[in-house]
Amino acid sequence: MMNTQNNEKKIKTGAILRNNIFLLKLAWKYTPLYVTLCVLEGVLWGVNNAVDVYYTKILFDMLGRNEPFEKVIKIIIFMAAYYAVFWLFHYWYWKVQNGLEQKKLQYRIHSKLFEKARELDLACYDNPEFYNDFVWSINESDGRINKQLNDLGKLINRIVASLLVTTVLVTIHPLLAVIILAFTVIRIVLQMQKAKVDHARALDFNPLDRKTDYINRMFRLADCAKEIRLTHVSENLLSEYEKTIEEKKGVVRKYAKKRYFLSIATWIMMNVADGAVMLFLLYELLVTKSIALGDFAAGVNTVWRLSWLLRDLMDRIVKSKEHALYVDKLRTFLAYEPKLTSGDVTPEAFRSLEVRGLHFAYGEEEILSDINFKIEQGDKVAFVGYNGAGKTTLIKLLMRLYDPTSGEILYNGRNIKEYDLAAYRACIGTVFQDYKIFASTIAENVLADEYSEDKKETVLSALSKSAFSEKLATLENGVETELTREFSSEGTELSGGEAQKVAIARVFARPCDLLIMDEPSSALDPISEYNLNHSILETAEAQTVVFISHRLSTTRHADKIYMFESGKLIEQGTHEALMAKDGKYAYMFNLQAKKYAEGNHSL
Amino acid sequence: MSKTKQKKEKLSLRRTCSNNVFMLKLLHKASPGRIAIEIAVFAAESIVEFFSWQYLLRYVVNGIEEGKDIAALMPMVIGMCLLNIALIAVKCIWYEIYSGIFYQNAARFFQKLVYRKAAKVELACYENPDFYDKYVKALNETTSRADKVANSVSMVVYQGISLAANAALLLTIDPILLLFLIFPLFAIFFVKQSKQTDFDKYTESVVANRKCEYTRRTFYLSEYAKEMRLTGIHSVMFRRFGEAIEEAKKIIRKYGFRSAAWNYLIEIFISVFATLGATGYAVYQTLATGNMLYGDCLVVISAISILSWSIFSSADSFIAFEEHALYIENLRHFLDYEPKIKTAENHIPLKKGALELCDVSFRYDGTEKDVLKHINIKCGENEKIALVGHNGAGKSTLVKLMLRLYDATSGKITLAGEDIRRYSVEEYRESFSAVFQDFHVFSLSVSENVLLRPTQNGDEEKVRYALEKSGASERVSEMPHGTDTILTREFDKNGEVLSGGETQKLAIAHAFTKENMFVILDEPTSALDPIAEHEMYQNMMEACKNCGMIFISHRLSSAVMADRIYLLENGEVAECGTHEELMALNGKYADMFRKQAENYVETEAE
Repeated sequence: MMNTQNNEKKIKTGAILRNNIFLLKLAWKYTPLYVTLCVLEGVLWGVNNAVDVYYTKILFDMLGRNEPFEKVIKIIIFMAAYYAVFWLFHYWYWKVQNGLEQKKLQYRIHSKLFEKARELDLACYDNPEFYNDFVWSINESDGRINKQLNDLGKLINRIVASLLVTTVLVTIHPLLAVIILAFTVIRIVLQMQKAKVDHARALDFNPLDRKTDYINRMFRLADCAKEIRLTHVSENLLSEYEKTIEEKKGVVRKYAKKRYFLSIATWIMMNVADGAVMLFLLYELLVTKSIALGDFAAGVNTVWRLSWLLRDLMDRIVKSKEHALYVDKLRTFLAYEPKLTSGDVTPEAFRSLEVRGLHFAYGEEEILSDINFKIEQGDKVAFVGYNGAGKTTLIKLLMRLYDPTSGEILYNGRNIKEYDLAAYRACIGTVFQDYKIFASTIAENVLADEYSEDKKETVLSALSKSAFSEKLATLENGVETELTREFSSEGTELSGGEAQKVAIARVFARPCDLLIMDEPSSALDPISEYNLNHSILETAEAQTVVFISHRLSTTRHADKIYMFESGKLIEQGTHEALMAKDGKYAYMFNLQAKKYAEGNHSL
Repeated sequence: MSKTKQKKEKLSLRRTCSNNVFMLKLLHKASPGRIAIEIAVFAAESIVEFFSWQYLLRYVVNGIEEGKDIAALMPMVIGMCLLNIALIAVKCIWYEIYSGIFYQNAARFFQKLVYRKAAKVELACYENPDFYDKYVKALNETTSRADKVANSVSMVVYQGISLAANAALLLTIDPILLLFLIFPLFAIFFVKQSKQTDFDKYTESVVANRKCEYTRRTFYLSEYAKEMRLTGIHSVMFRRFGEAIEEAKKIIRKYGFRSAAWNYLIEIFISVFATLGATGYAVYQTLATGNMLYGDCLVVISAISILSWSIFSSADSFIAFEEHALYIENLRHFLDYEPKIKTAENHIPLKKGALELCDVSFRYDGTEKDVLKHINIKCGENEKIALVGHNGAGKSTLVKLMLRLYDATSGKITLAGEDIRRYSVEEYRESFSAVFQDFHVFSLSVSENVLLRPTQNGDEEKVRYALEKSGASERVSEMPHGTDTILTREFDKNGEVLSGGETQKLAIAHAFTKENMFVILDEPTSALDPIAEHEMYQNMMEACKNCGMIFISHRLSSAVMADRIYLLENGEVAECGTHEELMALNGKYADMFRKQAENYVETEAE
């Protein structure tokens, strides 16, 4: 989903180097052993390559000089012993230690990433570009960092090996090294050209892949299963699919010629190089007689090995570019400084919350304009209004999930920016419309924190206030019942209404003086809603409560009702006062009440 | 996605073959010629590789030993070079041009095959984790698997040729050398062991990885963002993350050493016993007894290693066929699945009339509790009926039964007196319009989302009318391309995104686009504000003058409008009647209504 942006930007060579170093430093900081082992493995492999080549050269030399068998077999036995030790290390590292180190790094780096993610301003989530990058960078962090470290090991291995093998080659004939180098340079140029074409092709493919993935998802997910069966929308999707495939074929054709010629040129270059080396060695052997037969055989073998090494080295360098792009995003994320900064005042018990001249805009669009009101200790306040009137945004501002564009919010007369952020937020109990149930126990979900036996009373009483007790009684493990199936196949899946009750219990479990309820009863049936409303008002007698609802029956007993429309506070007062005023509120209320009234009169 | 624990199933050899052949046949149908071409390319590669390396080296070195001069050797070297170049030219046509096109053709064939099937499979399959697992795999992997099967076949050909050529070469040099091939054959046994260990490790770590993934998601997805900032739940999630990591480490420790040991053995058997062993033998024959030519010795050293690794990789390829077969088994199950809800062969034409549920009970597959018990409900041709009741009383399930998304476990549903199973499923469903609470917006144009079918001439008017009626026309007219605007940001950063209320209006619009026998509304107004709800109901009632209407609502104020109300409780119809009758009955409905109306009605009294 998010991997689409990964190669859209270009990146300079210097930045590639810097970014790779950055990642290395990061890994070094968290798991020095992992980095050390990576480097060690790389060097050992490099040496191993050289040993292989050198062994072949000695073997062929000895064969060429017709040395006694006893002498040659010693070399072979030495090699057997060498392999026995080398492979032992190799497999231990790759099958055991590497995995363990990866997990260690994953854990340590995530403790940092998670902390950072929590600090991130909520506003960042509204910026799709930032959000995509952010999700991508966390999502990829495991795979990428491990891959980069492993690639680094391989890179070191190829560099060490290339250098050592070249030295062996020079001892056979210095000119060989020159020939190989020349061909390599040409190939690098061709490969870079090819990489460019491939990149452009991948970019063309991206949106098309996204389309086919989307269509696949539509057929896969249970969400739209009903629509697919009840309507003909599957035909729309299939014709989109057909179109997308044709477009994909178009992309393949568009780049086919260029890719074909570049590929051919690269491959031929390699072949000509092999042929040229062989002819050159033959010439030296047979015409100038400057090398021995052993050298000839070893030379052919070594050149073959070197050209493979160089090709691979190139691929790895190209790949490190990809890592660099990733690191770019990770760095942006890690370097992000939250705009919401914490103050240092510890908030006291709630007395009042005042909003003064508040404006708020997402980008260009103003969501709230010139809002003023004051909530006093013990008030029961209702925010009512149409969908999209800005009520939920206002709550987010009160919770300091955003800061206002202008104007201020005062808690006990002091701007909320001056308070310690975490302590301030902890003063207010909130339930949002789009609450989430976490995959943990009921108790942990209610406390929204770690649970221990001594908190059992709190949890039970909170659940009974939110009318969950009945369901709770049916659960074998009581408050320690695991919710969702993420962690346990025996986990309990709650229905929408039940989940909402658990979410609401969160508010009751916290000793807050100020409670904010954002449409807490929207998924509940009438009786539960009724019970809940009573329960809230009962428990919260001494507390201050802010309700948001568009069911006006819920809000009518509020001490004060604030009616919002298009981001403005248009009416305020008690229910009676607003009804007397006969404005928008009265209109809305009457509309809702009418049907009930008719129903009741029919008695 | 699948949460069921995978077992490594075993298929018989016959089934393994038959499955792979099945896939190859399909692939042949999807892109004719593809398999043959790929095999030819691989075969050519294998042959040319053998000649331009082992054979050439032997030819040249033996030639030198025999005293040939450079002029005699050069034609062969250059010839091989040219042969290679020719191969490259052909090979690249395949890799860079045709394989891409072939792949897309195969994708079109396979994906359409599985999508068509997917749309026919009944809803109950989504609740069956085993089936769903097959379903997801079929949708996600079919095309790439077909590609892999063809690739495996080509690989076997490639390795077979290389094996045969190198073995023949060794045979001509010294048959005893073939004895060293016993070692790679042994290694095949280790390969199986090592694969099994890796598979067990993978299976066990799926759970741990899923846990890690979940906790990570809670930290970065926006839907969790508020709670993560406002509460201490993050510490719970982080602890769980740590536990999942420890679990993963335990699995690595458990299987890692075993896996390392098997792989070590493979390596030692091939690179030490086979390769160095044969090298020692060849060197002995060359230096001590003088039975072998120098060039032959060199060839032996390189051929034996190639040969050993080919044997090893062929084992790998054959194991791959087993894996393919398991997957294809899955696909075949999926494709062979007979939907339980399908049109009967001797179906009768649709008749207009009342929809009636007679003694209907229903339970979800694999559960033991009846969700619906002995339900009797009737909705006359032009009647409006309301279903009310607590969450979980079975209202939504009831609606799914009416739409024939499920069939009743017992009892029957009739339309115009005929069992609905006697009608064609498509025709029957076509006579309904259903609006669900969880309506899904597709990344298609507004028109297509409203019509939920491909657009035709004359649809514009219909769409405009429907949007007008559902109250969405104002919002749509503000969009840059009106009804042609593509919704969601799936493909376009600036795509239109609808709010919850707007989405519902769009969903409702669908009901206005066609002639319906019945309209079903499953809590369609929960996200609408009171005014919008009021307007919507008025429009709906008007539009449904000539059709039946069944609606579910939590707000009893709307139930008042119904001709008949059914109160469901624990899967049973607890009360039934008009609003007046139920109020007079003074039972559960009346209680519920009063509680809800309490606040409003007090106002009336004032």
